[in-house]
Amino acid sequence: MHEFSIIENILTIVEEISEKEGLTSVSKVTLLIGKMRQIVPDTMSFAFEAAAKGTIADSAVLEMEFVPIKIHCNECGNEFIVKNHTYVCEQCGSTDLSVLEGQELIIKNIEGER
Amino acid sequence: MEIKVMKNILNANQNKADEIKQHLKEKKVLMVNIIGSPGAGKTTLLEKTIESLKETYSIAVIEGDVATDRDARRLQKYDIPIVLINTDGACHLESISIQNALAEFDLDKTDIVFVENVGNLVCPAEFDIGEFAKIAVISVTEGDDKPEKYPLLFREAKAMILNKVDLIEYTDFNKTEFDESLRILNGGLSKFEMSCRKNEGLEGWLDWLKNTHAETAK
Ligand SMILES: Nc1nc2c(ncn2[C@@H]2O[C@H](COP(=O)(O)OP(=O)(O)O)[C@@H](O)[C@H]2O)c(=O)[nH]1
Ligand SMILES: [Mg+2]
Ligand SMILES: [Zn+2]
Repeated sequence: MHEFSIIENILTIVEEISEKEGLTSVSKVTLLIGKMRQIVPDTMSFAFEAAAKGTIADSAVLEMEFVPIKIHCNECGNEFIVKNHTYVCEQCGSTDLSVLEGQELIIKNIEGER
Repeated sequence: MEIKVMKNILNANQNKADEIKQHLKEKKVLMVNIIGSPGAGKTTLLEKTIESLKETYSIAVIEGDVATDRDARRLQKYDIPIVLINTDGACHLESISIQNALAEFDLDKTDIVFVENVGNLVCPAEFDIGEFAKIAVISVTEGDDKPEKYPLLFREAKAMILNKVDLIEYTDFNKTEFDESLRILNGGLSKFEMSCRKNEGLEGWLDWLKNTHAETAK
């Protein structure tokens, strides 16, 4: 459900950038989404299609690239990718960890015509 | 043409949340964000917590509700400042409405602000509202698989309350599996088991609040 709120934020940013860059239409918006985020791709696409109507991104495609959850162990320094939401160091068993990647919710790039 | 952007989508919400955090720190106010399913016992938890702490602490409450004022009305009997935020259907609170709500309080005279977020285990976990801690509230009748199904909340929370333990014998809730799934998700999580209905088992939670408030007031 929060996908709708996220899409609104995306469209605001897309419109700002289009204006700054002098775009007349946007054909593609690419997102980077960390796997910690609970984003349902179908809901995102649906929300985007609905909310983009009548905006500069009216006929744009929304592309989503997912970023694995990358962890640094504060105990032994090991770095690893989280699988099955298991936040336990594979090397030493510690749960004292820092998340390096996987929390992203970023607009990576947009494509359009001037 | 392709334009490289690399911009954080929730920047606007995050910037406000950071402002709130800074402001609350200056005012030495502890704000906690209470998140759980509808019916988990969030409002009951607030009632019991306020009853126990209101002689010692100045408490204020922000009630997030989709459309009604029922929960806010339940808390009126305590004669504390309450701001109701009707999200008008939205599934979570955002920092802009929290900032407006906080402006209604005299923060110089406030120790703890409780925010009851909209009943939902998914969306509220995604939005920083400037709280010091997210508190996950879950009841035994919801089942022991909730951490696995809603990992972000249990990963982001600083404390977790398992409520309605008075009903556990009537359910198939498996405490061992529940604890293990929390350990692998968030080894640093503080955990409290209680029955808010019976007002039993709240001591650990109340101590946690007192200690956490003492830390913020330093
Ligand atoms: N048996 C039992 N019922 C509870 C407990 N805590 C709350 N309830 C009941 O659960 C229902 C929902 O509680 P409420 O606080 O409104 O949940 P909220 O939607 O999360 O705010 C109410 O009928 C409460 O009386 C508890 O510890 N045990
Ligand atoms: Mg409630
Ligand atoms: Zn390690």
